[in-house]
Amino acid sequence: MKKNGFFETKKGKTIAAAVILALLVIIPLLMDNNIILKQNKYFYVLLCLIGIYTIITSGLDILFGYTGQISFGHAGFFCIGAYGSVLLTHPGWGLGKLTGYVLPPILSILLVACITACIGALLAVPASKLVFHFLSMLTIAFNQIIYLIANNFSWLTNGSIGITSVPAVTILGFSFSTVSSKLRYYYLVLFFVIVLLVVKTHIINSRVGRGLIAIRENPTAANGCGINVAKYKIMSFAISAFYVGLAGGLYVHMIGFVSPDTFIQNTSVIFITMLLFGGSGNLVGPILGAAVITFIQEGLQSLADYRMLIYGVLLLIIILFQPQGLSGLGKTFSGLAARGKGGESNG
Amino acid sequence: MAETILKVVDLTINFSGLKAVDTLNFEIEKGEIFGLIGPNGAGKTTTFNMISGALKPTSGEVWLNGQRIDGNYMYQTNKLGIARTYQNINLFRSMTVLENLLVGQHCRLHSGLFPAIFRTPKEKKEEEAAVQKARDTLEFCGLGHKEDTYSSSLSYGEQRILEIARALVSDPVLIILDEPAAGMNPTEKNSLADLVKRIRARGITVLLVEHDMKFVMGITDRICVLNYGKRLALGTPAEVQANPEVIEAYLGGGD
Repeated sequence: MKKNGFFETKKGKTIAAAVILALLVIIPLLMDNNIILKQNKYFYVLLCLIGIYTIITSGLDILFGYTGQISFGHAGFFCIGAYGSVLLTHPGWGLGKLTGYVLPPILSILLVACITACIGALLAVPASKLVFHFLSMLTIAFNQIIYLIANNFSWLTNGSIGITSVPAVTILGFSFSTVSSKLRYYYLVLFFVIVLLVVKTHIINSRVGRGLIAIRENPTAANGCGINVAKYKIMSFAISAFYVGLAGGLYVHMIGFVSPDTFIQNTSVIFITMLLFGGSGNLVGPILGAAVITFIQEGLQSLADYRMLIYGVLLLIIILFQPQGLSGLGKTFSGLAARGKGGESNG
Repeated sequence: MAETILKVVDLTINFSGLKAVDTLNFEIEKGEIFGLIGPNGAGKTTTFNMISGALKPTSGEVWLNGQRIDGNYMYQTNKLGIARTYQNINLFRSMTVLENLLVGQHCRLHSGLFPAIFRTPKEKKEEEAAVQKARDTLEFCGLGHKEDTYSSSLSYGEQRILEIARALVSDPVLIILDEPAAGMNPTEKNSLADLVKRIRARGITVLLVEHDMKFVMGITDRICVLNYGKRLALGTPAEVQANPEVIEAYLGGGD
């Protein structure tokens, strides 16, 4: 089997990316001015959520899709990012309560991303020695610990009630308050999504990225090729945690409210579901997964009790019939078409 | 006398009471093709694993160019100049042939995370040079026409050659080949023998384990025979073949 097809060439990829980007910039702008469709504030929230989940699933993909390490604890990193940014920016809590000074939200989002990365690296020190189910257990435990801290350390986090009126992002006097203009926040999220996806692509197509993929493919051979497997696993955890921590910051300054319920174990499972549904180990899969699952989630608001059941069934269908996720559909179809024409289906 | 490149001193490993390798001694000279043979379970691959760093010996020492290397991890040994292949092929299966060789150069490249994220000119230059080197090595090993093929869809013989290429591309001083001819047809074996000789001609020392006696006797300069983890004989192929103990170990004694 050889690499082929227009969208696998560099030129094809660039054109496709440029077209999609232009649509993502222009369509919401036209909608905001009622040129096409109608202005719909709820729709922007949905787009922002998809952007945030895209960052999370892309981060998870670096760990799971490329390095081959499972994590059922990414809601823990999400929690650290969200609460971290609240505690650094809220006048009544954390840093603001202690010193009277707060950080501007945009700075704190970047700072908590770095802090989350460090915590990810710390978690990875024991995690890098574990595989499969032991690693799953460790990451689940991590998620639980972080959740319990958020829920029980009331002096720090206000416990299960949560913290309200989280300050909005302002950059150079421009307010990104979601009350006045959700469109602006959408562009902020879009900016981060693009930057982080470009960074992801750059990492994957480098010496470091090849090291990560080599670990997924064959840890023994990776070690024999001069790759310090433990160090690279730690690096992968840290990068992954950076993405999710940053997404946590973006999330909390959009919603303006944080409570521990958002970061329960189920949330980690949903992240994994998104990734598997969209397809792991590529650029497009996490985006597709985040988008489709977010739409399903919002569409099923009235069926909230059955949500996990529906995810379960969807995941089962994907794993059984389309293990590469939605992003692999193209290949599956072209394979079927080739077989239909009597051409060889190269394997 | 030629310079010693690898020295194995009293190498011993215990697997819960079983001495898989027992006080093994040998020296390999720079630029020779050295064979390690012995019946199944004699401890050949275990010896390889201790030299390359996959296993820690219970006691004994391994010296590479005057530097002690036993107890190192494989990635450290690789950087010091030992590259190896595996008995059960260990390729990066979903990577292309070229990508396998880029991973193979890992220890010789330097760009870390941040140069990668910002695509610095230095990183780009290093990557271009790495691709060129990978292509040259593939050409040298006769896989030049396969660079965009996924390694999992190569034939068995080609996969073995690709493992050698991946080891070779890391600029080793010593290359360790674990049963390189296993599963190859006679034509492939001939071109493999030719490749091993050309590798030696580049100044790289070769250590190999092989079951195919005709192959081993044809290309090695010296052979060490192992039996039950102990050294049974050491010498040129002709000397080893004439050794009565070796004949007994291989053909069985008259008991």
